[in-house]
Amino acid sequence: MRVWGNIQMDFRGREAKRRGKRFIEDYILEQAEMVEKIARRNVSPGRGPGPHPHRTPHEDTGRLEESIEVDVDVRGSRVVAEITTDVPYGTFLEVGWHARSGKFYRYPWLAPALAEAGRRSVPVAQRHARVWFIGDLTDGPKVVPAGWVPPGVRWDPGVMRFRGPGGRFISRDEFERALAEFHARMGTP
Amino acid sequence: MIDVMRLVYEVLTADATLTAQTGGKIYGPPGLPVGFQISPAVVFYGNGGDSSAYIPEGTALVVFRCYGKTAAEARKVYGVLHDALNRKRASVTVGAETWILDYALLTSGPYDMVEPDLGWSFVHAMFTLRVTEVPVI
Repeated sequence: MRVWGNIQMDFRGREAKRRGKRFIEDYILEQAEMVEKIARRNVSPGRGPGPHPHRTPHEDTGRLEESIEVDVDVRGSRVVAEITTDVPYGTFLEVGWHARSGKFYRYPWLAPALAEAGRRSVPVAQRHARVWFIGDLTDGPKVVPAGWVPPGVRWDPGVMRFRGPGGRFISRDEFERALAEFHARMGTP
Repeated sequence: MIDVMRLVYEVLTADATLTAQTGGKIYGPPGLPVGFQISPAVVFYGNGGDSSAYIPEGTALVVFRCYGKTAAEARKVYGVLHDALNRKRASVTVGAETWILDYALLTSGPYDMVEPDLGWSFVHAMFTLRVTEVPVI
C-alpha cells in the first residue's frame, strides 16, 4: 500500500497575468510621469543651468521644459516608458559639450530625474500592488503576495525583527494577530 | 577605496591597440585638455553607480566619448575601445591596492554625435563596470 502527501495550487494564470499587466502599466506610467515632472523642474527657467556659459546673450525660454514628453508603450511582455525631448540642446545639456575655450560643460537633467524617481518608486509600487492584488476591484481571486506585511508593521533588517506602531518591537504572536486582522478587514483568505 | 576613473585609465592605457589608435590620447575627467586639436582620442567620465555596504564591490556607469577627425575615424576609435573594454576582466595594482574590473558591459549607445560648438565628430557610449577590491567568488 502506498501513502502520499499532496500539495496543489489552483493557479488562475489568465487572471494573474491580467492583474500583473495592469499593475505594471499603472506603475510604469506613474513613475514615468514622476520622471517627467522632476526633469521639467530640473530645466525650468531659474532652476536650470541658466545662460549657457559659452554663448551670450542667452534667453532662458523654457522651451526644453515644455518639450519633455512621456510615451508608454507595450512591447511584448514589457511595458516601456520613454521620457524624451526633441530639442537638440537638451541632448548636449545631458551628455555635455566642449566649448571653444576647450572647457567641458555638462548639466545633466534627465539621469538625475530617473535616479530621484527610482528612489521614490517603492511606495508607488506598493500602492498599485495594493490596488491590483489586494483591492476588491473585480470578482477575481484576492491574492496577498508572499512576504506581505500588514499596515503599521515594518521589518527592521538591522535587528531582524518586526516593529509595530511607534517603532516598538512586536512579538511573532502580535504580528500574526495583526496579519489576521488585516486579512479579516480586507476579506482575503 | 577603488578609484574607478584611475582603474579605467589604467585598463585603457594598457591596451596596445587602443593606445596605438589614439596615440595615447586617453583622458579622464574633466575632458579634453585645453588647446586640444581634433585627432583620435578617448574621453571618459563617471555617471553614477552604486556600491554594497557589505562586500567591497560596486558598479559604476562610465561614459566614453571617442573622437576622430571624421565620423568614420571616431567610429573606428570606438570599435577599438569596445574591443578593449566590453566583457573584459582586468586587474590593476596601484600602490598597495589591487582593483579588479570584473566586467564592463555596453549599456547605452554607441551614438554618432557632433560637438555643437566645435563641429568635431565623436561616438558617445556608456558602459556599466563592475569593480571589486578583492576577487568575489
